[in-house]
Amino acid sequence: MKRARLQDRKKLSKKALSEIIGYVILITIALAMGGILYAWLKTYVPKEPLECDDGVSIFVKEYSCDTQLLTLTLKNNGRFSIDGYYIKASTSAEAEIAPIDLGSRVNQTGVIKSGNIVIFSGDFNPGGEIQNKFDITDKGDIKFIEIIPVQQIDYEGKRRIANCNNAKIKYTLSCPSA
Amino acid sequence: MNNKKRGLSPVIATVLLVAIVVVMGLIIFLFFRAFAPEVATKMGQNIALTCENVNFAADYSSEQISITNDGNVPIYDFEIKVTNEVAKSTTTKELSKAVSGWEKYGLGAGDSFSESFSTNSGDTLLVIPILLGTSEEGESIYTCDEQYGQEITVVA
Repeated sequence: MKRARLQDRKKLSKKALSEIIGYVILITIALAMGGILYAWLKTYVPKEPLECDDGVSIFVKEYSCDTQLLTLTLKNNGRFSIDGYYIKASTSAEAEIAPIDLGSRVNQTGVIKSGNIVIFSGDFNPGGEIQNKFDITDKGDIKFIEIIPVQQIDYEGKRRIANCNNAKIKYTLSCPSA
Repeated sequence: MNNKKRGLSPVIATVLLVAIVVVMGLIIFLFFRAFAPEVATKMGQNIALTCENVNFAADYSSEQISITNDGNVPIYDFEIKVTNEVAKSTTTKELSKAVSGWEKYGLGAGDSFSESFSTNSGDTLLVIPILLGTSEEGESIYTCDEQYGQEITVVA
């Protein structure tokens, strides 16, 4: 009788897998499934878009042009400094947008070109004025220009150029024909 | 005597059960994934959401189509839906195939494009951006919804 009871107690004390290991496996499976679900759903969460500051503004204070050179005096009338700008031109007064790039044709020492962006070598702070010259030889009779200011913004740990499309300006010119 | 015979330990049974459920789940997931559209991402988010950040201007004058990318999202290509109300016809073209001078990777931020594009007076052009994203299978293109397109009416 005593022997049989001892055998039963021995059987009860035998455990196949500890409860802790069971929990660890369960939690691991749950975490892995959660991770997969998170990675999938994360793509549906909108991210903060690359945008420049609200209140960026620039305007053409004055200009002069001949058949070869366009000189623009720009003024920063916004609340933030500007790092550069895109400049496009159109030879058609009826067109709504200007597709001819002038940024790569900046004709001036001390001005940096980055692709088709005119980058200021110094600060262009609010209230500041800057004069830039562009080679417009062979570009035809320019009717208007469009300028989009750009800012360098820290975005996702990198310094990136952001177009300030809200601050885009259109300016009508009257240049002598070639 | 019969009570002492044990078939399978409860732990092994549980492990088997979990394994069977996981395998069945995988089979069902792989089967239904073939019916679901592939998720492509651009700029760290679902490419369909990136369409909201696209900003471009399009115009048609002097038989030329002009597009400028004013935003910060590169545009890979454009789908052009040409509708003629009189003829009641609609044709769809990809801009890269309809013109000769389209760059391989499209319009980068701040880039512009202008080239002759044949169309008829009275046509309405709906210019819809196409983005290049990345998916598990590499690069994948995505045409944005029509709401992100721009409509141009061709005037004689």
